[in-house]
Amino acid sequence: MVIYGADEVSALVVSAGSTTLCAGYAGEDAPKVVIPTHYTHNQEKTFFGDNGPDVYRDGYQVDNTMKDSLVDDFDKFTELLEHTFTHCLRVNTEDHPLLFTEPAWNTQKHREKIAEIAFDKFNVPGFYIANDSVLSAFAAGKSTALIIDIGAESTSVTPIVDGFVLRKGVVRNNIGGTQITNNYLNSLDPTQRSNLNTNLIPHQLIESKTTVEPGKNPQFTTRSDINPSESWMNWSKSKILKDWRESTSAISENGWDHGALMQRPIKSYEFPNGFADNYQLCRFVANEILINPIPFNPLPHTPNTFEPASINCSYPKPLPELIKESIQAAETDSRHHLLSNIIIVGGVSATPGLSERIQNELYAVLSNTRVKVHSPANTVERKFASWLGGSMLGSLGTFHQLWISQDEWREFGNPIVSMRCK
Amino acid sequence: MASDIEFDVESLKTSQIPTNLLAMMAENAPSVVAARNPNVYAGKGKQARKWKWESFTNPARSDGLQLRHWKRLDEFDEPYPYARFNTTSEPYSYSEDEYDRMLQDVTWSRDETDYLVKLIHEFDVRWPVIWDRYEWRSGRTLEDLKARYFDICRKLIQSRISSDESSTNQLLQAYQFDKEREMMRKQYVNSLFARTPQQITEEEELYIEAKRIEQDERKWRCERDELVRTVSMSRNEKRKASGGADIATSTLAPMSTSNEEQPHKRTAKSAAYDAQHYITRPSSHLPLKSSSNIPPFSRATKLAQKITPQRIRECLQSMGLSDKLQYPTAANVAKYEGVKEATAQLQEIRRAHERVANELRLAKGISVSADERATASTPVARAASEHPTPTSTPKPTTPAPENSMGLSTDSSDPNESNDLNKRRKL
Repeated sequence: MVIYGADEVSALVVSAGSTTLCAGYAGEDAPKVVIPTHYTHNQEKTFFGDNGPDVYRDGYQVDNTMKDSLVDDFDKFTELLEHTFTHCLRVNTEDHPLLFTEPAWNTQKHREKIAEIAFDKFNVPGFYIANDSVLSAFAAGKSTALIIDIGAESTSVTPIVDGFVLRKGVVRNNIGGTQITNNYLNSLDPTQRSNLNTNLIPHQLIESKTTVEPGKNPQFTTRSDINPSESWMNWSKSKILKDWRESTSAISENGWDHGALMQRPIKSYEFPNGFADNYQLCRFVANEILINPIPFNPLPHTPNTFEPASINCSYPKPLPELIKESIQAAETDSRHHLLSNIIIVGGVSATPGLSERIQNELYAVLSNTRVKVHSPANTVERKFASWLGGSMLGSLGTFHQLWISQDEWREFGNPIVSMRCK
Repeated sequence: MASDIEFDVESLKTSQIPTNLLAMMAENAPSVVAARNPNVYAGKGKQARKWKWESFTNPARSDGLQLRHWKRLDEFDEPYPYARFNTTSEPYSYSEDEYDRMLQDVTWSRDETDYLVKLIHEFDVRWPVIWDRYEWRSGRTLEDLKARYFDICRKLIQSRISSDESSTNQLLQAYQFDKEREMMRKQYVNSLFARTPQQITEEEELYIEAKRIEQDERKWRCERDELVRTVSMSRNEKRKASGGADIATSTLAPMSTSNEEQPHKRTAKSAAYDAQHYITRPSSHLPLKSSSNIPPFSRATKLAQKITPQRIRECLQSMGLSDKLQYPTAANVAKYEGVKEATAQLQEIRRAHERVANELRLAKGISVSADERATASTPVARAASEHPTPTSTPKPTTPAPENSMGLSTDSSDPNESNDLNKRRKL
């Protein structure tokens, strides 16, 4: 038999971040299911996934099962998983081992709870929980790397050596997609901002609209029969804003240069109600908060109480400083390898110019070593890097000895999780 | 395949395309036509391979977990092929008895050592990870951990009985760990890492400067060597003159290396014969100057090189000396060679002097404006003018007066050259 590394046992890979849950079969090149971690509910009913918060339902609230990449509401999260397995993937979980991802700041309690859900609720034959930074490194084909993960709610820097997280080197701040969007809004001039705010109306509320010239007043009628809840409005608005940010914003490759950035093309964006506007300089200002948050009045970072001390920081630190801090915490001999294998992943990493900018910033801070920033070429690989790594890991023939089996779980209980998943 | 295509073209020609269109294509019929080959997917009469979704157990696991994968039916049952990748680096561990006997350490408690070895097993000797996860007590450096573990390993290797002595030694060598040295290295690496950009640019500049200086130095030394050689040749000459024939033979000494044994066998009789006929045999008793790196050679080739250069011959002829000796005994040859060498040297010195004088003139011309430099050069210039060019009148008679000339230049030349170099550096 030809050994090429892979032996698929049709494992399932589930990766849940602050806002998005990806799930699919190990061995595939993209997740089959990408749904929000949010759900919509009233007193009696709860809806998840594509049929969840995206759909307007009278009197329904929207809430998130996750907070800061950790599971916040385990009951609802279990329901979300059930929805994923039974309605999206349509699988019988008893036939498929389950590979889960976790952030580096996950707690013992959280991972044991997830294992419990997997074994007791879904009755999986095998379970494993892997660090998402490690998986991102695997997705890039590296076992030693420095992972910069810029997600919806935080930026984290995680050193990986030989497939293991160096826990002392995990640092992060609370700058992510949400804060960038806020910063983008703040950087607009007052008329643009008020225009945008008045025209931020979810498409579900619009009855009809006609096309207008950019910058002109939109012509549309809203539905009068509905009365959305505040949480639903927030969720829908943030979704529009996220799309607006992703499609217009970029970052200057070589530091802030007003003159050069004025030469850059203007981007326009059309909101759901037909209003369109052009964005020029401010679309570059928005992302500067990633590199240095201090001048932009970022929200103070309130770390979770259960986080290890090294992760805590009261104010969001600039990204180059985070990287430097992370490198300093790593062992001397691994630093060189880490710096020449920097990988940028996460939803925000798809921002145009970001990897070049980070490379340039690092040259300024660490000019004495070879710094090489890698970032996957296509957006799918950046956004779902950790899922992809999980897909690779879960389909490796050599990995199948690492699954925590149902029997082992029954025999050893909770401690087996930390024994096996290091 | 080719015939298929042709066939298809033919069929195209005959059936589907109207004749006028075909005439336009004429010779330029499409080179590639989608060939319809019905046999490509027919499987060539073979049945598709059969696969089965089958459960398997992995021998690398202890719990016998049954997972399922696709398996070819035509393959024999064999143990799970990936199980053989389940390897470890086989770190050392010790027994209770072994620890009590030899592994005790004042700075390491038993529990902490156990903890360390457990971590090493857990992470398969990945030191950076082990150090990162080490939480027994803070303050242990990676070198501390390594030193302790390698010390344990060495002691265990020594105590455990091994059949092969050399393999034991090899193992011991592999587990050698010099903590001080390692810490020093880490310190250097850290200081390299902690350099600021200013320091780096400064370092680069210094490096380039050092390179430049080195190059200058080399050039300068080269020039000086040449000068020294010229001067020392005349010194040798003096020594040779006083030493007489004895030293002259020493130049021939390396030639005797091939028949070193022979002179010892000579009898008194043959010695008397030699004396009578003025035969001097090269002696091996003389110390060889650099016998070690003289390759074997034929004496004839050495002698052939002794051809007198044209200009020296001319010089000698002007003094009434022929270039062949009538009666070339060893002593005569030595003397004659001495004269020739002295002549050669004389010419060398003359040329060197001319060159230096030229340079001096040039340098003077450059530094005319700079007063202090001009004054610095005056004594040398005076010295140069005091000594008239020694060989401007080629009147060499005997080696002795030439030597005195040589000595006089000996005293002035290095000064001159040094001075020149100083100024060049300025």
